[in-house]
Amino acid sequence: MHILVIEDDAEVRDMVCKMLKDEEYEVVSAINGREGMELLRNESNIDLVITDILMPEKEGIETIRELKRDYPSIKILAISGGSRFLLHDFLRSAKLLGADLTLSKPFVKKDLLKVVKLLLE
Amino acid sequence: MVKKQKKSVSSGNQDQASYKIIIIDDDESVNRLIQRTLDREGFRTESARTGKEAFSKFTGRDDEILLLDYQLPDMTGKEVLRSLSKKYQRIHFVIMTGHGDEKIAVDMMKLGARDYIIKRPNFIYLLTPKIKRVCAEIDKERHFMQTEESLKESEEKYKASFNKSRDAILVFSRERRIVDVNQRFVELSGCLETELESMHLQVFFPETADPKTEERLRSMLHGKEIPIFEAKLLTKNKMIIPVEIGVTMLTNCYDQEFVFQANIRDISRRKQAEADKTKLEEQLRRSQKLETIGTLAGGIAHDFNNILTPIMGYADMALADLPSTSPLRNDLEAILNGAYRAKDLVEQILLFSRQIEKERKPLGLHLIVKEGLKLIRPSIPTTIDIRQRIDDSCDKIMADPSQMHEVVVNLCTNAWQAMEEKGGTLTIELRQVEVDAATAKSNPNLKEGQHVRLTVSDTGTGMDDAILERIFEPFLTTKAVDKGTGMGLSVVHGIVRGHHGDILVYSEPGKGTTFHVYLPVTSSEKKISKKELAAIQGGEESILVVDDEEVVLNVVQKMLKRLGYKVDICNRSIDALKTIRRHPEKYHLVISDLTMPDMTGLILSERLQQIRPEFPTIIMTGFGESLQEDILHHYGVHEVTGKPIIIRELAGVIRKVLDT
Repeated sequence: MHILVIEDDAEVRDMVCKMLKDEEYEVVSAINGREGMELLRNESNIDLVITDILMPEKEGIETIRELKRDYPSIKILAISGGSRFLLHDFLRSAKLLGADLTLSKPFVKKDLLKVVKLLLE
Repeated sequence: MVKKQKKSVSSGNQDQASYKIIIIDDDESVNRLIQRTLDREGFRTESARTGKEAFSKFTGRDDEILLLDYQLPDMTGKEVLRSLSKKYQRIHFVIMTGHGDEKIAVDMMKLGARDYIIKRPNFIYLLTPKIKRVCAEIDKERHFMQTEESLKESEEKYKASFNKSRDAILVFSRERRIVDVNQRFVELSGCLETELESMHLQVFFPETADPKTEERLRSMLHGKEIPIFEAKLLTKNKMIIPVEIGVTMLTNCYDQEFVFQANIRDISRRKQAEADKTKLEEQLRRSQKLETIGTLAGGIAHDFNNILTPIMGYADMALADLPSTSPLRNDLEAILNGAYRAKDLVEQILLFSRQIEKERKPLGLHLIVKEGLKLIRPSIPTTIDIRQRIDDSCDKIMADPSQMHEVVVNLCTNAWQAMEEKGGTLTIELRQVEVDAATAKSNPNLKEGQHVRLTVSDTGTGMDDAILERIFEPFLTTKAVDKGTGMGLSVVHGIVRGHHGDILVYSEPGKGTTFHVYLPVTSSEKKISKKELAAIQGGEESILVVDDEEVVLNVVQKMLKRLGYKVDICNRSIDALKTIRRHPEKYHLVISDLTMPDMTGLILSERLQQIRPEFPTIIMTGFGESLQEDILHHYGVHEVTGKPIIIRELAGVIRKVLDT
């Protein structure tokens, strides 16, 4: 199974990648939505995209909308630690827009694996 | 000499011309002599021969003087006067008697004669000076009377303005004793006018004991003006009325050298309006402050969650990799525990800043309150008496049950902890109340209408204003360091405000604290009258309703059936899609929830368009959800209707979609 991780925070990104690689998933990562979408155009075998929501360059919300439009078969998992400025729950928005599942930060390995497995089954 | 005399005559003429002398004497020669003499002196004269004639000449004017002979052919002078005095109050007369009738003259003087003349030979020389003296006397009297009258008039005018003044007026002596008051002051003070006499000012203004007022009055005595000042008037019923006082000093009044007149204006309305305004501004400021803190805290929470993620994630993974005997396990477990605690705290901050919005549903708050109480009851010391007044018949509210649970537990825990040392009474009340326009106006966060009100009161330590002011701010705690994070009330505030409600707090140090939580009731279950229903347009088309919540499905199905539609329901979007795939023409319309576990309403709509272009779809959105026009268009959604579902609204939206 191939997973694309889009996350601007390097430590979180590395950790998510490690958690997944430990479980034998094929993982690629991008530091924002724009880079993620570019990657996706070259790697056609992605089954799941795990994306942060609040990122520079291209926000996760927009990324999710594009993903749903261009790659309707790819599953989406949105992760977020709350918003920085707005009184708004982004995880809910993500779900409304088509993220298949959401996971709020912080989380441990088993939380992540549980939702990933649910989506890839 | 001559000149001087002339002058005196002419000046005398002027005065004398103002009097008319009526000469009453039957002796023709005497009568004529007198008339001539007086005419010469400048008097106006008339003559009469009998008493009867005299009556016709006398008109009762104040400038007429009768020169009356006592012995008349038809009556005596006495009889003339008696007759006239029946008709007129004031009659000026001088009596004339013959020589030897002095006794009569004296009697007549007693009856009010101005003077008397004995008709001796040469009496005519005495006549003029006597008449002149009488005129002068009457002049003086008239002047005096006029002065007295005008004085009386001005006094009456003053009294009227004194009494009718909108201001209360109080006149007091140097010794601060009341000398006079007006009607308004009587009303204001609540005392009887008789009680007020020489009462000491201090009864009404306990402040006069204060040296400042004393100083003011003293400086007035030295001729200084004192500006209008505000004070508090204590009434007989022990009410305190805010007033504005202007004091002026009056000299030579009320038989005293100095008195003070205080004009007192009741300014309680103005004060109330000012207080209301200040309170409102204060509330607004506080509410804005909380919003700002919320935004800031929310921002920190986001970064903090990112930081916590690797700490927690790696500690957990490292722990999993370590053999069970490794001494490092304890250290890593401590890190992990710390991270979990931090995670909980951040979640509370997010709750306070209203960034966690969970699914809401119609909820009977009484169930949550009872459940919450059951949960915390075991931890409440037996010295605390718990009283519940919970109305089970309150309307439902749109709320997240777990958040409401948190509100109840937090408020009750705070309440009993405030009474932990000394014991007391914890009162929990739940009832439905109407928030009226005035209440809504004075509480910017409250809207007019029906609310469920949860009240939690304690008889504990209470709080002073300084703490009350900041009570909902995060990390403010009055408890010992290990007893709480200071987030409890902030979280409650965030939840309540997030549910479009408000929380009000009343507290007094040493007496206790009361919290009122207002939450608007949901209108979805309002009974609709038959008349209203008739005005709502229905139809006969077939509709498929999709929602993962059975409750909503049943409500909507019932509503639509009442409107005449054929209705099928489906609790999974995937199944709905399958049904339509099998019978693409069976349904005229699909009404779908937005958020469902396996496929959102938007995706369902999109798929429906692929099966049958322009397939009419209506999306139901929950509390606080909003969708942009372009998103709706993208997914082929025709219309959106908000939850709670209101039959009138839904009926309108359905016709709009099906008729176009």
